[in-house]
Amino acid sequence: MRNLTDIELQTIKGTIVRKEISSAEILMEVYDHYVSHLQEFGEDDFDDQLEELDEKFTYGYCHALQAKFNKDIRKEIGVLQWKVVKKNLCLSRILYVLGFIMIAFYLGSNVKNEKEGAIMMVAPLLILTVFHIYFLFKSSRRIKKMKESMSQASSLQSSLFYPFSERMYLPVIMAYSIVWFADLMFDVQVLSNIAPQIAATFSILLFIYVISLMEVWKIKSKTSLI
Amino acid sequence: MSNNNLIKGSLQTIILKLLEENERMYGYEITQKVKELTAGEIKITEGALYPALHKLEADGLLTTEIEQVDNRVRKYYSLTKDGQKEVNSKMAELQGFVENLQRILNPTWNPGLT
Repeated sequence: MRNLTDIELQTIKGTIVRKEISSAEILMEVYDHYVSHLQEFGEDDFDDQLEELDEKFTYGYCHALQAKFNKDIRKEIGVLQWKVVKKNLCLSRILYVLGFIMIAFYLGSNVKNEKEGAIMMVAPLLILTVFHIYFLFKSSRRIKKMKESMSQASSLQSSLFYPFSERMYLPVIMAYSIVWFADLMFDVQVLSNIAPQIAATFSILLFIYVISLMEVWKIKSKTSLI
Repeated sequence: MSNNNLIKGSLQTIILKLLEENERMYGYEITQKVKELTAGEIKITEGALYPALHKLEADGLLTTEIEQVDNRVRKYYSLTKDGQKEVNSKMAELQGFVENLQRILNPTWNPGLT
């Protein structure tokens, strides 16, 4: 095994950048494979071996790999979030969850009008918004180094970035609907009697969603570039 | 010797077994380990390896960690608890298949049959 020269490393980067890979996880894996393989050969064999690798990692193969990976990631995040929710409902943690539910219902019982109801229901979204800003900051910092190293265009992004962003952004854009629903709860006679309980339940569900998403990010941030 | 078609169905088992024995490995290392263990008779193609690794990761059988190595990021794969459980069942399944194949290819070879 030998250390590749700067020119050789630049040649590898140039070859890989031409494949227009936009997933940082796929890009780093392909780059590591190229370098690990080429380190096993002498300088004389470099061009031949690089060509051989290029025949394996074709443009089509890299994009198919990326598409499949992106699809799997979406599925994985959903499964992981559900696992986190279930884990929090296990016996050892159930007391915390019950305590949290009791506090939420106690606060809910003090809700007197649609304004207070709306505030209670929207409260978890404030946490989500702050978390989203932190997430954007963190992931852009983590990807910056790789973009600089590969001289890659701005399209390079972690495969987990968009699935996570969507999960954070979607409930926030629903905020207006939530406020409208709070108004409706207190206006409709049938619902107004149980409006505080509905607000508390809604708030609990949204809190569980936010907390589980944050925990999934904590897990995945250790293994990917977000 | 081209074993690609024969390897295809057992690639996941090979990966899980190697990771059971080596704790954590990266993609290129897996291809080299298989080549070394089989004296170059079996070569895992990159075309099959990475999709299989990503599939096992998405199924929760593998977990990954990233590490900085010589100015580049390397992705290591290791078994999750579910993956550790899955190794034994996958191995038993493959061994059963190999035994049955032996019986078909060599009818006089019938160990375990009464």
